[in-house]
Amino acid sequence: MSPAGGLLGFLRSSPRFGEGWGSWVDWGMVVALVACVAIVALIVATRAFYRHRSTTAPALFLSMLSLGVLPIILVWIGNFTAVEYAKQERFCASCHDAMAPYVDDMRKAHGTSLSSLHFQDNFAPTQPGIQCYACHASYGVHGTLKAKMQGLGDAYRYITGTYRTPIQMPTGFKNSECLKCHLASRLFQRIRLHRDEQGQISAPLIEGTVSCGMCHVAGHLLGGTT
Amino acid sequence: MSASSRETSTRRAWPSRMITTAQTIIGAVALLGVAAWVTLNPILLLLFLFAQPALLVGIALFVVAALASLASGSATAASGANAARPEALSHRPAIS
Repeated sequence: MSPAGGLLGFLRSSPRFGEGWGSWVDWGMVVALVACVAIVALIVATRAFYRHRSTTAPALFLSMLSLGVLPIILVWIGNFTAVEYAKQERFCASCHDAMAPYVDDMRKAHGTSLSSLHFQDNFAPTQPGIQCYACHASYGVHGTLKAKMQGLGDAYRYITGTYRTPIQMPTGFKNSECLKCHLASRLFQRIRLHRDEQGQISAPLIEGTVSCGMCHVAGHLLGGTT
Repeated sequence: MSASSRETSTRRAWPSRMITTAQTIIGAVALLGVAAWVTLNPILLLLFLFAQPALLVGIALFVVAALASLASGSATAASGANAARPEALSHRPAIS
């Protein structure tokens, strides 16, 4: 269920949307991997050369690297990189049975679902590669934390096999996830149906009593299933 | 080995044991990290994330053990070697 090619595959496909290799997620992955390998190598070296002298000065120096400096770097970089990598659609598609159909639909070159149209126009508000996250998580730390907590639940259900396909969102897609980008756009504001009689943005839209999905095509089209 | 020398042995060996424990914990998390980052398997990545507190425990164990070793003055090439093998001290012939 891991992405094709693992880390090498990810790094090879990294130059995307005109960007060269070297985003900080790329670097974070490499640094975290190097730190892990260095820790293991240094521990093995310490055990081999100072097996019965682990409290001597040279052994403590080696241990300071393998049990102090490098683990601190790993905690910092590893956590941050893993959390950021988990925002990428490649990560979402890792759960093949459950998520891959949705990601495949989004990536369709001539797809007509909302997700596909957004993907074709590269409507990710922050950075490329996080299209799932851009629409399914709110802005800010609160949105990130909420998405991560929900993701943990999803991962649990995937590992234990307690899910049904096609998977459904637990609470439906909220208008706020659409409006966080569209509300301020002139194109959105020009549409008569989006405004009330006073010319203000329609209250039922903002409150979510009228769903965006009532007029707009489904977010994902999986053989006629949304 | 007499009772007093055994007690001395235990007292001197605990920093060494703590370092071994720290090596085991941090080494296991690092191995998990290698597997997670090479394969980018989401389950391994999640396990790696959940194992981060273990890294902090390992670091804390090492810091305590290193400070104890430095405080007891055993962090030298010669005495440190004997500290890890206290039986060498206990069987050393008396100097007349």
